[in-house]
Amino acid sequence: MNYHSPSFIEFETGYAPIPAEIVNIEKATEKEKVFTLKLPGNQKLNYLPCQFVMVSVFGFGEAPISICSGPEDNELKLCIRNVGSLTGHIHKMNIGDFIGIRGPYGNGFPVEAIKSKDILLVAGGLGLAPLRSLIRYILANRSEFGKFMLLYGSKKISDRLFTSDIEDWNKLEDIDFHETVDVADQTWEGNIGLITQLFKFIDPDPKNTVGVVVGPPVMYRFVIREMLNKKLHISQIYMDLERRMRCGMGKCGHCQINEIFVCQKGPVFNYAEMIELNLKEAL
Amino acid sequence: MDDYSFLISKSNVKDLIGNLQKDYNIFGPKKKSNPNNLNGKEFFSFEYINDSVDLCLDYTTSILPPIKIFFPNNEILIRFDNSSPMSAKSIVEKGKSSVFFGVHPCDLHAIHLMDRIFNNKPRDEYYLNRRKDGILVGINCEKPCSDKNLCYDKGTLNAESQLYDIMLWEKDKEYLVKVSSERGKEIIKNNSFFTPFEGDFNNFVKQFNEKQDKNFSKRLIQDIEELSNSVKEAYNSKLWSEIGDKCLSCGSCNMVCPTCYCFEIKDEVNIDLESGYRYRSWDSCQNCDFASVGSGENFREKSSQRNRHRVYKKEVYIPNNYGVSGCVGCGRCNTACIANISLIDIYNRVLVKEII
Repeated sequence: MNYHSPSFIEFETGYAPIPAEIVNIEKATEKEKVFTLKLPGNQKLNYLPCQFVMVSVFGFGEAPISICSGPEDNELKLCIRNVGSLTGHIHKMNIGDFIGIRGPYGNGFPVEAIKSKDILLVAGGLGLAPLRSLIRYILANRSEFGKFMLLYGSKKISDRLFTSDIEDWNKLEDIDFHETVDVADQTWEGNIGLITQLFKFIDPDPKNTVGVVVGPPVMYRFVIREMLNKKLHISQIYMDLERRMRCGMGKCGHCQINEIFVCQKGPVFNYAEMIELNLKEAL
Repeated sequence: MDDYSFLISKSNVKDLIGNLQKDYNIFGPKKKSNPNNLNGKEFFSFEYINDSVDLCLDYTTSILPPIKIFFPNNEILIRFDNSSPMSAKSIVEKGKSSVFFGVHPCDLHAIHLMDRIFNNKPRDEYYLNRRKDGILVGINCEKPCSDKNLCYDKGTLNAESQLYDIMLWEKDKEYLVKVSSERGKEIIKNNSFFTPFEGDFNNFVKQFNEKQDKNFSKRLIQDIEELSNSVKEAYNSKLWSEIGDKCLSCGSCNMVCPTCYCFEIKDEVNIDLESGYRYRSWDSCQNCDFASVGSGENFREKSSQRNRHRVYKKEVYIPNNYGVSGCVGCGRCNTACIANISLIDIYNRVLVKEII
């Protein structure tokens, strides 16, 4: 056998996606759509809140996308923002088309560690997508958690995601839900301003509250400061970080912060652990 | 097993390679033609040996490290087909076993480290599949290959026996041969060119090491044990922006590094516009958009941050995860850098703490 004409054998390496059929598409905003997917043979993907999958269209590439359905939901949902050639192509797809999926990847949210606690979730923009998975989990297991506070901020009224969920959350007695938009016209009757302003509406018990932040990179520092002002201990604060995951296998280096590969050890980090590991680049 | 030592005459190596080619792909150092005779310098590349006369064991260092053969650029990960329904298969190369002939100890150290990194779960089956069929025949260095290497400081000038299958020491017109694995033993057994070494093996190695001590000199002003801590302390140093200003973000340092393994994943569609393949190509943490995400945020936007990341990866992050330095001191990055950035210089400046 000549080295220059090697033969190849099929071998399981973890890189081959499985085909997922698009069974529903909801237009969320101008830039985001929510895709409901069906896996071959109706198999169910086992995942934790805040885990992600690598989504691909062959010829267009692959990108990490958070799962926005709850682990106990019957449907697998991804909220995808149109930002490049791959996601742009997916936005042009129709019901019945297929995309490739591999995963789930990442540590996911340590749900066992926060049971019986009061929960304070803070989502900015597209950060609501991964957090929705955790919200769905908490609502499905509501009796296992204490007080449930949820803060959500968008840039504009038209950027608001999951608006029918928001209607439900507004109605539910056992969610202390507050929402704001950075800028708005007169049609908006709710809060206007940055998400940090919503902290005046909540009164978390510092001894028993777990805080979780997901949003654009600029948001973390400010929200964490608000949580610390509410006397939450650093070990009670979690965050879900966005990075450029390419392989999902802790190898390619793109998502690396210090010695941590976010695709494997993250994307959910405990703030106290981050401080201990001195992950300065994380915030 | 550990004490098996043999001799092979240098003039027999060509025939040995010829014999081995029946069962193995042979890779080794080969002189590159140098038509412009750049400063009279000779260049070598570690590559597939088609004709055994091309093998040149008396070489300085190879432009690319041998490890890149286990981790080739543009390696196919999956083959896909978009015709309905879409399908994808991951594939690995199936070839005959290979013998890497003439690997220097620094590169053996690098391969050993990469074995550990790619064995980390989830394992990298592509690398491991090639690696498991690779037999390593090392060759010791009596003289430094340039003034840019750090192997004498890094403790990678010699390799422990678990890092190779067979090891060679130059001994006048012969090579002293030590075998340390079953696969290596097999090669010795099946080739009549090897004769048992009757002399005192340990004494020979001792004398060889003494010659090394004479020929090699330390590049660092302090002991290497201090390095990782000194680098850690220099996180906020001005040094990084100074280097960042010089750096052209070309990524040459990463391309030639035997322990750099970052990659990008890309797709290629065939002319039928349905089928194609997904492959990975070497990437560089020095590239401007290496850590940028879809929203446009770039987590290491400045060259200074990227340069710091590279040095930290070698001297802090890999040591934290694997207990050894990520730099084996081969010196290739120092040679490849077109802006004359040198790790030796960086390490020394960090060690004297002049730049905090």
